Amino acid sequence: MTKARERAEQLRQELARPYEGENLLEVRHLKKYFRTGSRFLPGKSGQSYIRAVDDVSFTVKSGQTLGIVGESGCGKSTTGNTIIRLLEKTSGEVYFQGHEISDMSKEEMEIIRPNIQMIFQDPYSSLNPRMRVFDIIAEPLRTHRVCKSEGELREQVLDMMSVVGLQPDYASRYPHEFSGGQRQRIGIARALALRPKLIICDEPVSALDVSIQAQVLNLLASLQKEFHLSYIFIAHGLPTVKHVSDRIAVMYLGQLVELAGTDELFASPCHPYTEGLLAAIPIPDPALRKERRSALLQGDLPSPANPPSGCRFHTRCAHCKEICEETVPAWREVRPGHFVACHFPVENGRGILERQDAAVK
Amino acid sequence: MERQTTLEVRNLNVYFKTAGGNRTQAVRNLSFQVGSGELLGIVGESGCGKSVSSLAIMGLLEFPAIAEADKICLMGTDISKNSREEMRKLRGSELSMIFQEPMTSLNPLFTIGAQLSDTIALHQECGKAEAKRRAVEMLEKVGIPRAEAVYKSYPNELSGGMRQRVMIAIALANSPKLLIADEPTTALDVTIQAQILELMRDLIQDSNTAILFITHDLGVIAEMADRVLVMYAGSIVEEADVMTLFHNCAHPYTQGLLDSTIKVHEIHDELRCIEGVVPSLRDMPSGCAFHPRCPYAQEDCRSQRPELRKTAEGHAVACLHPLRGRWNHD
Repeated sequence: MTKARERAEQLRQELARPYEGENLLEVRHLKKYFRTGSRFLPGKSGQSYIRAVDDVSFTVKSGQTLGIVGESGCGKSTTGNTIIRLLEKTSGEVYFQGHEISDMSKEEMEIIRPNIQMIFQDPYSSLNPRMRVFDIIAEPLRTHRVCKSEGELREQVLDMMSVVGLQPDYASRYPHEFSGGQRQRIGIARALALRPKLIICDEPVSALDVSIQAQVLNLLASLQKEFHLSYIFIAHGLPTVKHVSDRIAVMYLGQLVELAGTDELFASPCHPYTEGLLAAIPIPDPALRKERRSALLQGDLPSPANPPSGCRFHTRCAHCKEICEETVPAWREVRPGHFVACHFPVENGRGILERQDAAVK
Repeated sequence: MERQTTLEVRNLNVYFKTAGGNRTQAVRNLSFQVGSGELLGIVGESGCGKSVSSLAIMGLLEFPAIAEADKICLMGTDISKNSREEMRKLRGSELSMIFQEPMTSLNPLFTIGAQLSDTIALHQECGKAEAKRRAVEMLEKVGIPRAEAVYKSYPNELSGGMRQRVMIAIALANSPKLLIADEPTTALDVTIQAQILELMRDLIQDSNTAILFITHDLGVIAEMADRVLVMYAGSIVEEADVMTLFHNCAHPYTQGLLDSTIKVHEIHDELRCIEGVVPSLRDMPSGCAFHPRCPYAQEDCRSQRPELRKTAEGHAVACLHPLRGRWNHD
């Protein structure tokens, strides 16, 4: 009993200090399967698994942003939820500051939790409509008993509100009185209240208008500098991910297919899927309209309940050969810091940064 | 090439009746035209009146919305005073529409085939067998593999991209003169969006259909549109061809939109945002509706409402102090 308490106290003290190491979060071979079908019926309607996240490994560097992109259903949100243990993993390990957190006891997890917070996609459904803004932002502080007095609590909440650009007299209002952008600010203030080290942003701007998106993205960037935050930024829109990320991981059907520095990924992608994804982005300049098309991906995402054999992308890949249908490609480093899972990585992948340079000249 | 005018809208106003007999104005003096084979993009943020305008043109607005227009001319005939029955005949044949949500705009209780061949049989006066033949042909045209099988399936059996292809097939089945696409790709993944945009581009080239393409995504506008209307708070603030709009825009709001769009193709994309939020319809600012958010606003912007004025051939701006040359790269 006392030993456990000692360990907990040690952990608490360690987490209170700023982290000096390089990798704030490390995910190793994370898997999350969902069971579907009936346990009692044979054959097709019998039990099977949806492999939402299937062997994903990556690291989040301290003070940096890792973007995770992919089409809907690729498992990016499940990855985020499993890291923060809103979902329990099937197997794999998650290390936060070197501590394995995916198997931690409830008590120890409570010590970790203030350090990892989350911002959700839908600012309309992620705030309780019956709570005032003050109580929404105060809730994490109350849960973790951070403040000693009501006065201190009030001070902290108002401080958080001013940090995210909300006027203090909004504190007694309800969420429905705010626009989407302001609600997302409330969500950000709530996530920030406990001064976390890592924030998992799950599509934080997808539901917002363009001009408001820019406001929220700029806010997230300035908060990162001010509080030395690390982000995992999950989104399906490549433009936003490119804007905020230092490194980007591309997911396809529950697996990572490529991970590289942002500029490198956009200038010379190695995986045919990334190439197709980049080619699909509409570029906001009509002068560059003519030059694309060739690398457009055909077809739809296959079902994760029954993923294709070998390389999961082979059904849509233009360079597919026999080996792709049989063998799962290994995760390897093709250039320093540039990882790809493909048997035949594209040599000079056509990114979309180059083309701009050509157009300027 | 001289284009035939397919649709001409003059002074369209849309109001919503609110409690206490008041009314708020959602669309103010909207006038524009689209020619055959032309793709006119309409951009703006949510609540700027772009969807309401398109519903007004289709005659789909119901109480408490009221649409008033000097005229809405389709191929030279005014349809703004048409009865419900007359409008119903036009919809699906001369006029058609693609909605944002491919999930909710198909009836889940009927097969794809039934919904598609209904549209054909209703407007083309042909037999069942002939309608089916044409329906399958349409499905093939929009790039659906195994068209015969899809004909017999229900909407829930298809993916979002497939459903949107079916919607396009239904919309184009009777070769409409005007197609309104209201955020047709917003709910789709980027790779599927690219497929659908490509499909729409190919289909337009083959026909003379005029298209109103409504979106909030400037990237999609840059890919698709010939001309663009920018709307803010119910009015057109700028009208220009797509090149002029992106490289030489004159309204501060358009510039703000462009600045807050992420330039995926540039290495260091700087993001400048428009401060503040879109005003509420009930509480419109005096003068220019954009002045509280405009970095260049001057004293007269507060009191005087700017009219849409032509500044060059094919370029019109509603601003008292339009920008000049700020975006002129060439």
